[in-house]
Amino acid sequence: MSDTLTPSGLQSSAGLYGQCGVYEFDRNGAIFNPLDLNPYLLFDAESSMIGTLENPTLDLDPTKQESLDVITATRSSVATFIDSSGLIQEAPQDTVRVDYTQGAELTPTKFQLVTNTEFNTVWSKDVSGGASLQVTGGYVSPTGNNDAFKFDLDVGTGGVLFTQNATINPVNAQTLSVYMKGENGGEKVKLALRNTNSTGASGDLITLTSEWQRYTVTLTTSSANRGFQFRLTTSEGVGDQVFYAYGPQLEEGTTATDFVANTSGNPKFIASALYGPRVPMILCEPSATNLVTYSEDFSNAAWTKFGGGTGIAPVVTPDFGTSPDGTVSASRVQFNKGTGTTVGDQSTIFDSEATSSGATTSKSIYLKSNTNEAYEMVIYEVTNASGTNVKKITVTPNWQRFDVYGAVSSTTTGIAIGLREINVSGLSNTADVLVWGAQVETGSVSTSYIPTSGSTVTRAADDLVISGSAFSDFYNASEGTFYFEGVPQNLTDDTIYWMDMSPSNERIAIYDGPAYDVRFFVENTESVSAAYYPAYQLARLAISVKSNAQELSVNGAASVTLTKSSLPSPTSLHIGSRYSLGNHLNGHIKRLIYWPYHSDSL
Amino acid sequence: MALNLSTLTNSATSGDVLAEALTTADFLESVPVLRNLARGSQKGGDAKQGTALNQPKALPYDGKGYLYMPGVIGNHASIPNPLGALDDFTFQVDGLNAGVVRPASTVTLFSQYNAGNSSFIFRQQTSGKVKVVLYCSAGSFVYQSTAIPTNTVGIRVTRVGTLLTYLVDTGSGYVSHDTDTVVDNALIDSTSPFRIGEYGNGDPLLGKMSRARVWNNGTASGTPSIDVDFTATNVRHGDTKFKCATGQVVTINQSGNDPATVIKKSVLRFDGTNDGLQGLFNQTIDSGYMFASFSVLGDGGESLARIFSANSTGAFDYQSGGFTLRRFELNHQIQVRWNGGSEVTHSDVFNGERGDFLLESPLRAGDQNSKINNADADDGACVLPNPVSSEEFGIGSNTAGDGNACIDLEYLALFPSSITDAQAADVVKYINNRNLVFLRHQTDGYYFYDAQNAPVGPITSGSSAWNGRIVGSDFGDSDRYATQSTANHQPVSDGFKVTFADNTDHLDIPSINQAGWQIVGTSLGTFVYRVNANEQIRLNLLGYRGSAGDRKAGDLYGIILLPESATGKDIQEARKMLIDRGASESVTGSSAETFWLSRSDIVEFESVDFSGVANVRFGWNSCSAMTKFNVGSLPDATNVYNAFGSSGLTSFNTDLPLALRVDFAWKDCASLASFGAVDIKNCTNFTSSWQGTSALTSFPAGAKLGTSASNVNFSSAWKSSGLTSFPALELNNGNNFVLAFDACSNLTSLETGISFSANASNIAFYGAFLNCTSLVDFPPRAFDGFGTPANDSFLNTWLGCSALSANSVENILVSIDTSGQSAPSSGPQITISYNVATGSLSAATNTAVTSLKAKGWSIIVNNVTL
Repeated sequence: MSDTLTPSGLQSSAGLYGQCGVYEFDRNGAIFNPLDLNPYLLFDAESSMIGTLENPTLDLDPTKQESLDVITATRSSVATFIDSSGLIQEAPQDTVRVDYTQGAELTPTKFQLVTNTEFNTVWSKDVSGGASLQVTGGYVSPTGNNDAFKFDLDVGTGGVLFTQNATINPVNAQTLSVYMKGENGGEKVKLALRNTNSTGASGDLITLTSEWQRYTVTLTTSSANRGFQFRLTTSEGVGDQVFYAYGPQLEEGTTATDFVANTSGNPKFIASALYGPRVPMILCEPSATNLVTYSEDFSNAAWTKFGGGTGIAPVVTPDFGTSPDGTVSASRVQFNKGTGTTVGDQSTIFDSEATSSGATTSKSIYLKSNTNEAYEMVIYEVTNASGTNVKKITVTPNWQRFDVYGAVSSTTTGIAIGLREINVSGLSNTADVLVWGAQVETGSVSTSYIPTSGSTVTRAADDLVISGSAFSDFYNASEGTFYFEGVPQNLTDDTIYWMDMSPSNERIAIYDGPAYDVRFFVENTESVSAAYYPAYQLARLAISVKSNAQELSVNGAASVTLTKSSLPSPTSLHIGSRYSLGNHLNGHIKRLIYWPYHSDSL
Repeated sequence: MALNLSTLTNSATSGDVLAEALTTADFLESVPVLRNLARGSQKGGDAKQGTALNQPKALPYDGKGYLYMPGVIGNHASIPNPLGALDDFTFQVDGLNAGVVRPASTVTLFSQYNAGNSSFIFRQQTSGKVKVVLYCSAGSFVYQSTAIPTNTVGIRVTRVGTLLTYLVDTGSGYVSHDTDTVVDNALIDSTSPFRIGEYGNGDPLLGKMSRARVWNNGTASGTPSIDVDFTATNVRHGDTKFKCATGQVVTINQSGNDPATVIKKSVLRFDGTNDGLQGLFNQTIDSGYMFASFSVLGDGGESLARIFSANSTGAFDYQSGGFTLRRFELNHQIQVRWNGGSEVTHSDVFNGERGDFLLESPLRAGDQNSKINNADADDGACVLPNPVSSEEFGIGSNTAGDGNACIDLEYLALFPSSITDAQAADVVKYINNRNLVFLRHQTDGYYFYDAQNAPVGPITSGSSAWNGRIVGSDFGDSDRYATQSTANHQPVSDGFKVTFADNTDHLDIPSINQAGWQIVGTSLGTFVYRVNANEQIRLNLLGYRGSAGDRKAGDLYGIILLPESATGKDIQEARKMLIDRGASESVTGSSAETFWLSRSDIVEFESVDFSGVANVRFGWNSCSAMTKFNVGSLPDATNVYNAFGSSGLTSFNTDLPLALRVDFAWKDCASLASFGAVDIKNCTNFTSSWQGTSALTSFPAGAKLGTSASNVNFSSAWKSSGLTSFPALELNNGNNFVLAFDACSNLTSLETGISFSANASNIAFYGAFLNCTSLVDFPPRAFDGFGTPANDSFLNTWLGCSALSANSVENILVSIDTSGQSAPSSGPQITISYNVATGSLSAATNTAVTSLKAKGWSIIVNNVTL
């Protein structure tokens, strides 16, 4: 039997240090590890000692499906969820839905915000001090075509600001780029994110060479009304000069993507947003009914295709493309409203369903461009296209779910999409899009998609409960700490519960009513309000309880406290609902951890 | 620990908290769960303790090490009276935990205090203020800072004149925190000990510290006066004495069942009062094979304290179906309980004699014979019958929470009883490689004369004798008292080292009569010898007795005898331990003269760094049993005179690049059969170096003998050796070959190319090949460059070479003639004997003779003057 660690004699294995700390050793060519001997027990102080913080007795982590096995899920219907690849799937009854939510946006949807990339139109000249600028086309560009422009500048005592206005997203940085070369080299140009009022920010002064180069400047400003500006003034250090330019581009983000020519007069789609990995979360929703009877078949007569004014009725081709559930069930809809911009000039498709008078409904639908272009369209409530019931949307070559919500003005509700400048403007004249998954439901938020085919369909609520030994195995009646990470969707329609316990007289709960901020209570009677937190954003909440000391903290705010002397003795935990199985969270739970210790002991 | 909920819910900090939740218990944290790392089909559950008061606490290794102090009087580190009267000074402590920065009661960082004889106290108060008490001739003065940050990990206080500055390190280096104006008097030169974590009257520190330093200047510059660095690699887990960086011996004072401990590996501390963990096997087991590494603390805990315990559901471990490895009542023994039966298996366990140790025990019907440290096997009598039937287990107590052990648990595993002996051995090796639980001597060492266990004072007899017993060792677990009855021969111990004052100091020991590996850690170096069974009745500083008049003086840190089967790893681990305890790793001083003279016990001498040692004169002389000398180089040795003479060397391959003298170095090494191509290029004196090496039949062609020296003396160098041939060495710097190969009766040839004395003058070759009766072939051109001959230069040089060929005669004479050298004024004879049967002298010979005669030479061949 060979053994690489025990040769006899000093010389044959000299040196302690070469073997110090080696504890997995070669035994006949195989690394020895005691775990391979299938022990009953193996405790190693180095890695086995678990403290209180390291010892949660409940850790619901949707990234680990097995951690959810302790939950008894009750839902009397199937329901949909988004799987890890982003496809909408159907979950059987009585299952915990793990919804793979969109990951963090890594790069935004990119548009060419220069609406005319040729320099002989739209661009304005602001001349001062006797300056002049002649811009003429027809010169050889970096592409080899004669599509570059010559800038012949006599700067005088002032200069010229050469600008095209644009609308930007001021939240993020913007990147300007343009190809330029000097007549002789040494010419100077300053690029700026400024509008024709010269409001905005400037980049550094650029010194050109006699060779084509693409120059890039990334700037941030605080307003949406900005533009692409050449600052050719004496105050910027610019003199009389001749230079050539080609391919101006203004786009959101910090990198310049390949130049996209645009002469449309509108922003031009470049690329869809990029997202990080999807994030699995438990989906917990109340019951909801999709009032749309044909949620995927837009050729059905239930959907009205309407053309008015300069527009014509949209053309629907059913089962044309791959839908968000991976099947070929998306309808192609080709809209054409013509050039008219009055509310009567339209090309729309809509449905109408009965509802209660004045009800608030949410209307949602999946849309995707059927071309490589983006389209500016509208979505609205058919009975009341105002306020939150109408929205201008940009349909890109990626599937997106769009929604509006608001009160109906009659006993009818419905969703309409298309090209109609009804309380919006700047829509495309035509659009060729894929449509799928329409949904109209009561309430102000859109819940998970409920497919229909000929009649309305109701999705039952998600009741998630840990009870019996699964509960007693993790719960400590004398002290404990709950931690939630989740995304609430609806903080306005009704009280929602992050958690509750039963029976009814043994409750510890975290909840949030439409008229107040998040609260928690212990044993029915006492409650206290904590900080505000917004919907659709990840919230972190924790409560810690023991006799005479209970507290709640939300999103890092200082704790609010209770001092109940005795704690309840619950027998079950209701996740995302009230003990009586109402008031569902209507949102996602990313993590739920329970430590059987008060935070003072963590 | 306490977690602020807002920290948990804050987006900026929540991730860190959740990441921390994936780690392990923090320092001093109670441990409610000991995670079972088993992942196979047979895995049981975690070991748990739901009652906070009964939870053992974590002392995790932080990757560097620290001193844990429990906040109980009697637990601190100390150095006796190390400081003079400080004027300007710097106090600094590092590696503090948060509990030290905001202690529940005032704690001492360090002090030199005794009522009426104090110098300073450096404390931390509950308010977070640093407090300094200075004692000087003008009285005592108290100063304190404002509260320091709660995340402080290091505190420094400096005094420059009247300016006292408090500095703190919160992880990014020291920054000034506060200042005070203070008394400028020098501090009292207290004779009190320097104490870390306590002062004379209390305020013990609860927490940890990685380093404590004092400078006798206010700028923390230069070498500190005290530098106690618990992260230093020579400081081992559980050490109670060690030499710190500034040379002082640090003692870890321990008291009670939660003693101060140097932590260099993670341990789970059970308090021996109510701590214990329980769990479920998740199945019924009828047997197993257990391994546990741990150390016993304090009084060991309660009567019948459990190490590991199992029982049937609802029953006790001592009843049918259960089993336990536990303390036998309040004795220091381990008792196995099995199915209601019992057997005592090991002694000297719960008295702490074992230190860290690894207990392994088969637990199956008919066999519960356990071992400790792969040794100390039970007598085979532990054969309690019948399988057990257990569903529950306990660690540190039984599952009812009773029988609480006071231990630091490092590792515990229970395997199926079906694992093979080889697999069990692998587990032992795995645990030991991982946790460094025990060293080889604890398994089967013959003795360990551990200086830290020597009685303080002169080593004499009785209670002042020094016991080399190794508790638990298969070969060494019996008393082996080293004694000395003669007062002025008695080495003296200070409890850390044993000092041999002069060449009379030595100890008598019971005859061991065991060959093995002797490892000797001393202030002169740490040496490893393979020894035979001879002479094992007396110890001196460097091992067994050698030349009584040449015993050495110095400090001894320990002597270990391992069995011959010890591996290189075993030996080096033992050597490293002695070095860590203070022994010098390399040879100290410039002389190792007579260090091992006449050590007839040494068989092999292992490698050690001899850098700086110039004199090894008689170093290994007369080591008659020493066959191997495994030192690759004596890099600075200049005087190797008679170093190995009359030793038992069979080979030699040690470079001597600076040697100036190797005369007699290997003389009369009758077994020396192999001599390496060593580097002795600077040597001028090879007199009799290999004389009498009768087993040496050849000499390496690559050897460098005096090639960088001048006037090199090779007289009698190979005289009477066993050489049968000799390579074409470059010997041009030699000017004295008198009798160099005299009586090499087996020498038959010298390799063509050899060159004598081309760079020399006044050259003597008298009798160089005298009586080389087998020499046949003498190569041409050997003397072509020959320098000025001395008187009698070639007199009798080839006399008695009765086998020499006529051609060789020609080679000799032609070459001498070629050199052009005239005969010396006295002794012009060139004396040659040769075998006439090989032919008559050639014409070339005759021509050379004629020419030589013209130069004054007298050529005598076979006693005839030509």
